[in-house]
Amino acid sequence: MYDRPTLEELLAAVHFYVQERVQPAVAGDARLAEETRITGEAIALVLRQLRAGVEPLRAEWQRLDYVLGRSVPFPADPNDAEDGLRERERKLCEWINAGLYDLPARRAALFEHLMLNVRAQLEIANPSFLEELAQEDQNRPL
Amino acid sequence: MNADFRQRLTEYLEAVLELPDADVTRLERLAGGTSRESWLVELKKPDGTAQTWVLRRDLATTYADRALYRDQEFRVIRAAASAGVQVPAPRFYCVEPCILDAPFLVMDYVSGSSIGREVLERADLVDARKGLPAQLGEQLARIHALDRAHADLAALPVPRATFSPAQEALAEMRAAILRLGVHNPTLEFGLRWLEKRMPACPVPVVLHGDFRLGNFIISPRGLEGIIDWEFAHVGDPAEDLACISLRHWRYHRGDQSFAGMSASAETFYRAYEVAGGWPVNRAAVAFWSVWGNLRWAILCLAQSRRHLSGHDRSVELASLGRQSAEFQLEMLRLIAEQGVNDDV
Repeated sequence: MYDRPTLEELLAAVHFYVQERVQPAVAGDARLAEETRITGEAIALVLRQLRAGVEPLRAEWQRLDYVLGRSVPFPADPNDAEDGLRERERKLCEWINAGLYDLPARRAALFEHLMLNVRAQLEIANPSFLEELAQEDQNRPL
Repeated sequence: MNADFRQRLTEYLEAVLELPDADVTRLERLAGGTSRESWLVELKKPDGTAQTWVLRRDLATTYADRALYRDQEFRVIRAAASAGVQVPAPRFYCVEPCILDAPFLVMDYVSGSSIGREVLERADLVDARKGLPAQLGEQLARIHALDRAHADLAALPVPRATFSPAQEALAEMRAAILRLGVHNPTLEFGLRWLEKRMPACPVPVVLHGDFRLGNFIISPRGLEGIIDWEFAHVGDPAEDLACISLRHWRYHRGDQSFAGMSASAETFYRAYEVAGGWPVNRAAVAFWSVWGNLRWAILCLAQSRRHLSGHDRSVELASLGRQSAEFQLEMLRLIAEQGVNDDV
C-alpha cells in the first residue's frame, strides 16, 4: 500500500502549484504564461480522466455493441479495455468505409453513437466547451 | 542561444544589405505560432536610421504537406502585394538552414494586433471591427482574382489532374489519416459524408488557405495586413469563404457566427461579390465548413504527434491531440444542421 497522498491528491497538489504559484510568476512572459496555462489545463484533464475511471470506456463499449450489432463482454481486466476499444473502432472504421452505414437508419444510429462518443471525450478533455455550446443552444431563438 | 542567434542574424543582414556595422538593437520573440516562430527585429543602420521587421522561422518539423516553403510563401506575398492586397511588405527569405538553423523570411513590421481575442475585445478597436466584414470581403476578392499564371504563383499546389478542389482536399485528408495511423470512426464518417457531397468548382482560384482571425493585423484604423500565407494553394473560393466563420476562430463567441463579430456573414459576402469576387455558393460554403473542421481535427492530432515523435517537445503540441474532439464535435453539429441523411 502506498502512503497518502493518493495519486489524485498528489496531482491536485501539482495542479495547485502550477496555477497558483507558477502562473503569477511567469505573467511577464507571454509565451511562458501561455504554456503554463496549457500545462494547468493538461493536469486538470488528467485529474478528470483519473476520477472518471473505467466507466466512460464501459459506456463506449456498450454503445459499440449496439452499433456493431454484436455483444462482446467488457474485458474483465480494465487495462485491456483500451486495446479492445481500439480494435473495435478499427472494425467500425472498416465498415463505414465499406458502406455498411450508408442506409439511412444505420447511418442515423452511427451518427448518434459518434455524437455521444465525442461528447464523452470532451467531458474529460474540455467540459467548458460543452457548457458553452449548451448555453448557446439555449439562447438560440426558435 | 539568443546571443548566438542575434550574432548570426546580424551577419546575415550585413551581408544581404551590404552594410557593415548594422546593429540589431531589438530581438524579441512574438507570441503565437505552433509551427513557426516569429521574431521582432529592429535594425539600426550605420547612418542612424532604424528599421523594424518581423522574421518568421520554421520550427524543427512542420506537418501539412501542403505548407509552402519559405521562398514560395515569400513569392505569394510579393504577388499579393503587387495586386493591392494588404500585406506586410516582404523583404528577404532564406532557405539555407545553416544561417539560422531553419528557413525563414523577413517582412516589414506592421503595428496592430493579430491576436484573435484582442481583436474581438479591445475597446479601442470597436470602429475597426465595424469595418472589418467589408474590408475583408474586398481583400478576399482581390486574393481570388490573383493571376494563377503569374510567375510568383506558378509553384502553388494545385489539385492533381482530373481532381476537383473538393476531391483533392478529401484525398489529402484521407492521406493524412493514413499517415497518422489512426482509426477514428468520427473522422471516417465525416470523410464519407463529405465524399458524397463534393461541390463542383468550375474555376479554381488562388486561395489564402487560412483566412481567419489570428491572421489579420488590426489597428484602430482597421485592417493593416493579412499574414500567414503558408497554406496558400489553388482551390475552391468557397474554402476561404468558409474558413473565416469556423467556430474555433470565433474565440468563445460561438453565437456570432461570422468570426465572432456581430456582423452577419452576408455583409462579408456582399462586399466580396461587389469587389469582383465569385458569386458566393452557399451550399459549397457549407461543405467547406464541415471540411474545415475535419481538417483541423486531423491537424490537431498531427500536431500532437510532433511532440510524441520527440522532434518538437512541447506541452502545447501534446495537448492539441485532445483538442481534436472540439473540431470533431463541431463537424458533427454542422452535419446534423445540414442533415445526416439529406441525400436520401
